[in-house]
Amino acid sequence: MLRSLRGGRLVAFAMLVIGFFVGTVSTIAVSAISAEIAAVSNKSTTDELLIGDERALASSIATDVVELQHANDRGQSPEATRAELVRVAGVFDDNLRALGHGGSVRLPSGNSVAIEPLGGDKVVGLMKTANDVWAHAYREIREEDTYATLAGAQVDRLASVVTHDTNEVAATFNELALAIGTDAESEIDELTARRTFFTALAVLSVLLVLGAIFNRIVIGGANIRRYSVQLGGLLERFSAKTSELFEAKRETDLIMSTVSQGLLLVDTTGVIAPQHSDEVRRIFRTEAIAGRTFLDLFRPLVPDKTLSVLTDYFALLQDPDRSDRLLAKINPFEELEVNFASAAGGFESRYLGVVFRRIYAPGGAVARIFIAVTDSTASVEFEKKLRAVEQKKDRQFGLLLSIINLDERSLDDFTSTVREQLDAMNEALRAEDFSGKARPAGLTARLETLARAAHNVRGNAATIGLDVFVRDCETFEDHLGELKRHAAPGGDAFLGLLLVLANLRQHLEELVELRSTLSVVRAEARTHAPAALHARPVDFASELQVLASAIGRTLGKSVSVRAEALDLTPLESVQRRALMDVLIQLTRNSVVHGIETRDLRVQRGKPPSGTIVIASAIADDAYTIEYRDDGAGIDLERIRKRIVAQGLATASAVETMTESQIIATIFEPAFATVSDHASHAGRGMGLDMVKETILARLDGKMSVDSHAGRHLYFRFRIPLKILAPQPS
Amino acid sequence: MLIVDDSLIIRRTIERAVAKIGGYETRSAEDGAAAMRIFEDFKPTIVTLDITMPDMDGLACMRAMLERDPSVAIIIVSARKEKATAVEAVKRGARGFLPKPFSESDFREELADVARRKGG
Repeated sequence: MLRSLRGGRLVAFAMLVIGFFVGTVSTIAVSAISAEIAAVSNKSTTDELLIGDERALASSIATDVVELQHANDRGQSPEATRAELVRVAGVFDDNLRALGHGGSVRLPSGNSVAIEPLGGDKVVGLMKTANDVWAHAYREIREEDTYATLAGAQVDRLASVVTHDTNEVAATFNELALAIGTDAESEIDELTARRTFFTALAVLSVLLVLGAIFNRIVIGGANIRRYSVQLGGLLERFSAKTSELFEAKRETDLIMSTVSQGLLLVDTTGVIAPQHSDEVRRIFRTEAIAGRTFLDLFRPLVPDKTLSVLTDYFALLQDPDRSDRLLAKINPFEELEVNFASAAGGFESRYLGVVFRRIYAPGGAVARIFIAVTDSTASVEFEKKLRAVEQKKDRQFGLLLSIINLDERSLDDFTSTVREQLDAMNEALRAEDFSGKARPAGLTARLETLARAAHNVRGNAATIGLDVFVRDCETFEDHLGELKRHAAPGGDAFLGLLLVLANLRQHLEELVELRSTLSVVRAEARTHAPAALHARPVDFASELQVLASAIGRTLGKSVSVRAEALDLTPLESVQRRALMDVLIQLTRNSVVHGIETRDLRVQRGKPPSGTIVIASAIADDAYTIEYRDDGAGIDLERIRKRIVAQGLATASAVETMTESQIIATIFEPAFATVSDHASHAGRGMGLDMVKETILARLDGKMSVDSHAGRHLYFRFRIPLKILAPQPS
Repeated sequence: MLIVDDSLIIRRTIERAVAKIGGYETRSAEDGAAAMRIFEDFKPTIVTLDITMPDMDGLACMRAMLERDPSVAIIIVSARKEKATAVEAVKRGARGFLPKPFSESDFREELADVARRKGG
């Protein structure tokens, strides 16, 4: 198509050129011919007119001659007429000559006009005829110069000759005029035809030009159409691309607005690019992000020292020689604590996590850095809570393990003790003592009180194996130890002590909670499976053994409990429980106070392991239980001292007391309830409880036998009537 | 390789790891002074340097070593949370970072990374 296009273009061009050329020529020709037609027409008209005038002249000559004749007839002088006649004839002659040969013609108006000779064969022929005829007449007119002698006959003859000749001339002129007209007409016709030809040519050339143009237009139009189709195609693709881009941008915007991380891009100077996720604004709590530097965002949020570390790190990021891995490891932004000024005037802490990804330019230099910022406060807080919960769980588990072998009474005793001591400590710990100024009076005494209380609790805790409390008290005692040396203790020492006390209280609460949970569980167990205990008294023995072993382990003692001969079945459940409590208490005491450590026992020649023997029997109307351990028995001296220390008796009075009296004392509530801060026994040995249970609740009798260094022996007699009906 | 650490456990861990990899002769030092003496003699190509040792300014030691031999690759051993010190050390030319506590495989990875970059 391209080739035909080119050929077509050539044709069109040729048409154009030819058209223009021909058109120009034709137009010129047409104009020329038109002018010529006009000239011919004009000439013929003029010539006809002139001929007409000449004929009129001829007529006037004839008239003049007739006039002459008449004048002659009238006998008038013909001179004037003759002169006129000659004159007019002369004019006629001149004009005729001019008409024939060219020259000037005199018009009736008196003007002269130059003309070309008449042309055309017929015309020339006629002119000759007219000339010949006139010449004859003219001769006659001129010859007659003797008008005076003009006879009438001569005049008549002149008149008739002239009239005849002039008529002939006039007729010839008529023919001439006709001929001129005809000639002109035919010439004009010919010219008109030629003109028509040229006009047609001109029209044709115009058509050619138009055709060429139209051709171009058409082809051009085809081209244009083709181009416009192409253009349309381009436009379509373009708009498709544009809408693709638009769509892509919309999706990016959607991602940026919904992604939960702050995503942004910085250049090597740290300037942030405009395209970032909305979350960035939320995290940094500012609208001004793009255009600022990344470090700038942190300036109000961290202390200067931190900011300088961040700045150093950011500089390291720009260096492509530093490995990505290393930089990721030392990233100080990984978990960064930041502080926002809060509206209330204080501040709000949050944790931000930032990771960096470097984008390299083809040459290997760092071109951009892609940054993802997360507000990880929630997860950090969660981790902290989790850790705290785990610690609490561990602690509680430890506690649980410690107390699971303890009876409830021991626990309760311990709990009360700790509460008491805590109160005492609170009382002794005064804020004003820790003003940081001069050591206040009485501080030493108060510190002593605090120390004693802590020691007491520690002792109790150690006894029953509650390490948590032991540790708390040790920490407390450490603090106190430091304070003793301090001249003027300040607020932070106070705070330290307060914190330990707070811990102590919390652990106590946890203990109480555990204890109540445990007692519920135990109660459940007992109500649901009393049969178990009923049917297997041996299990109680195992319980006691477990208890003895557990406590013994913490104190470095080994104790075995032999209770094969113990049968609790004859008892009602209430009594049984009461007795079990008693036995538990006694076992505790034996392990804690009575039985010595292995080394001591070996020293004393005893077997390294202590033994507790429990047996029961029914005799007559009584149920008897015997309890015996091979420990150190009751230390009478110590008791004596304690009695004195408690103020229960004077030193001298104590000397006079018998052994049984002294022993009896230890069962006194007064003796037992007072806590001895110098000993490890804490709340005494719970023997008041034993006494009360046996004597009051079970309405029984009790006897004690102690051999210092050897053994301790209890016997309980409980009357049968209290007992359950015997199976027959 | 020179191992500078006051903890025996750490020294042993690293020595074991290096022995398994093979190709390195190792010397150990317990403090900065000993470290510098050995450094002069032994001229190690890689040094693991604990910058948390109490009696020594780890960074100063590092600077001294780099002055003697700018091409030595120093891996600093530091507490995990002490990013500020780590950043400072890397700024001053450390090539590797081992946060405590680390296992043998952690050490192997770090050594591989540092050795690789040393070549490049």
